[in-house]
Amino acid sequence: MNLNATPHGNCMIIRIEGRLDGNTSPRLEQEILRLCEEGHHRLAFEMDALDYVSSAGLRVLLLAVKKTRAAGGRVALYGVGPAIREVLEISGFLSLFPVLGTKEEALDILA
Amino acid sequence: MRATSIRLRPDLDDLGRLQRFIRRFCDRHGLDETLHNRVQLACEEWFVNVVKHGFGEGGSGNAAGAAPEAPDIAVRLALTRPDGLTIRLTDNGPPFNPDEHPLPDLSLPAEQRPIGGLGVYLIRTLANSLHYERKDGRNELTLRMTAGGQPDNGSKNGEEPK
Repeated sequence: MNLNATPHGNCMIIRIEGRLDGNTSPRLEQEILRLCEEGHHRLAFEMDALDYVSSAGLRVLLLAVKKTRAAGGRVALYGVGPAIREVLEISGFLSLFPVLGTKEEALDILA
Repeated sequence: MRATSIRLRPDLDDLGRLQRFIRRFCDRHGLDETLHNRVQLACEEWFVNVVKHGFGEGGSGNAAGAAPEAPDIAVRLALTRPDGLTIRLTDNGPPFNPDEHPLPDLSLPAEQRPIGGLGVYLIRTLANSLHYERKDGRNELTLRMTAGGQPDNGSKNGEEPK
């Protein structure tokens, strides 16, 4: 998994590439905790290059929702492929955050 | 019927081996990406559960309360139809019956959602059928999966959570 966080206005774009599984999720968790500590509470997850997510990854996404909301912020996802969408849907996660088509839509919602 | 097996250590470091094992099987038999992804997911959820709850994380084997026997964790994949497979997951950890595992409440808002508890639910939903047995001190979980079709959101065998 590759992670890349890029600020955009008052939002932070977090690009996740590869697999978000039991081995790699702790790295995303650390990154989210670090960003929240630094005062970033509007997080856009760019997922067009994410191939796979397991419950370990969902756990970290839920953590991101809880952390940002507690600080008055928000999470949005975009570029989600069918394999990832299936897992989000089964787990009832589509109601936890907006899942959008483009970066612009995500940034609009977060701004 | 074409079948192949792998033995795993109770260590998350072996998740990569499991993933490559599944990838090779699916590639060799031309199983489609959707099915491949579901097999990966079901097997990971089971393996991570076994490592964390069955043997204790790290699984060094000498911690207090560790399984008295050497850990024995195995995955067997068998092609059962041109477009499907049977997954048999076995381990000699403490009994764990997924049928007795409470289903998560997916209607809760984020603030009230517990962190975790989705793994078993994903396995139940992704498999077309699921059979659990405790046999000779081992957990044996058998899953059947076929290509195409939608997962049916959890309610296997018409059973409701207790």
